[in-house]
Amino acid sequence: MKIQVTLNGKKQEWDVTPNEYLADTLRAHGCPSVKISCGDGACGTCTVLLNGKPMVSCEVLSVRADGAEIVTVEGLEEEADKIVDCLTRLGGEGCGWCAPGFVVLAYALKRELHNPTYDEVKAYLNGNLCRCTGYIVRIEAVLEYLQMP
Amino acid sequence: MQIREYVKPDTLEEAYALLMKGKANRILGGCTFLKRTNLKIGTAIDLAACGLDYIREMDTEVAVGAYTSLRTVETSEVILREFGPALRESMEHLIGVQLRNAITIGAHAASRFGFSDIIPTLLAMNAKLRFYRGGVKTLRDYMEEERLEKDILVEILLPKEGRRTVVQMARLSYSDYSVFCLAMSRAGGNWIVSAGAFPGRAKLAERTMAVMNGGPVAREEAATLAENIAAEYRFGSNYRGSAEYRRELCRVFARRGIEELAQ
Repeated sequence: MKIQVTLNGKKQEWDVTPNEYLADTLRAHGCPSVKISCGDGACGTCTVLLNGKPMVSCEVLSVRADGAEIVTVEGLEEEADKIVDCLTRLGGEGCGWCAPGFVVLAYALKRELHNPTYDEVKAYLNGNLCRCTGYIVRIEAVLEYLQMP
Repeated sequence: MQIREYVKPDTLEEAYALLMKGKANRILGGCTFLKRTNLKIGTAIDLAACGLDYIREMDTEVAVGAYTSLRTVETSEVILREFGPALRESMEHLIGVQLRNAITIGAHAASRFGFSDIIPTLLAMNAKLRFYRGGVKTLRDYMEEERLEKDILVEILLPKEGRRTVVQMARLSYSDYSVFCLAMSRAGGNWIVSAGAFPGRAKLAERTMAVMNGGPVAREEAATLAENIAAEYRFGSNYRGSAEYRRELCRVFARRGIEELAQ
């Protein structure tokens, strides 16, 4: 069936099946940043913004995205650069596999929480697993990003 | 999981008609558990356009629409103000914000998941469920039903009874399912005790509740009552924990809960 979405600011029409998940559809439509790792909603590598809210796209049926606004890391541009800059300066970049989902989540955190504490940031980022960094530098990088205009 | 056809009706009336039209037709919830099933769905009915995403405060209760996400419930100021942090605590550890934005509270409750920490907490909060055809029934009755009729869960009703609720859970890692969960509440002299993930569908400790509701409960009785509560459940073993371990957790959680609420 045909669905219409706004992907990173551009209107698109996709032909999807009822069994298809959004992560697969996004990868097939030019968003290789959307990684599928656990495929189970647990690791957060496929995080995108769906109508402004961070969602694990591997758990969202593509048909349900009809009419939605979707933002992937490709659509974050300058904000993504700011987060990546903080991550690299503090040694939180790791191998980069989980980074796109993490960057989207960090951006969502900034929009959702106002003056969050260390523990609130830590809890918010809980849904993005990382094998490389040990998390602490990532939390510090996000705290630094939150101070940026 | 296989879906033959997807529809998004505008009204509950239309959705109910579609649901009854075929044996394999199903109402979609957040769909986060769907992938783990072998369900073959005829018509998948999405209620996203039926206006069930809300938290409404009324004089005697708070109504939570079945399509409200766990994240919305967890961050609701109305729920925190009226009922305290227990409901938030029962869900905030569940994987991540990105998944809790997808899971709907209605689907979670309607599915009667045996691993849930949310259902025992809702039971302790004396929650009721409003169905499209079946009307209002207590969550307690719904959990006990042998055979569920096909229906649509519209909203969860949380009565404003001045009930203080505590929930305690043990899990192997922060975002994992619980090894055991116990929720308890008190409104004046009325106590509710419920447990889940023992492992099995959440249920109340009815016999001990009858004793507790028969007279004042003193803190000194906590250990004995906790022993009685633990004796009401049939604990099981799985790779998360043994029956003995769960029984011990139940004793400790029940004692702590009574001590806290008896004050």
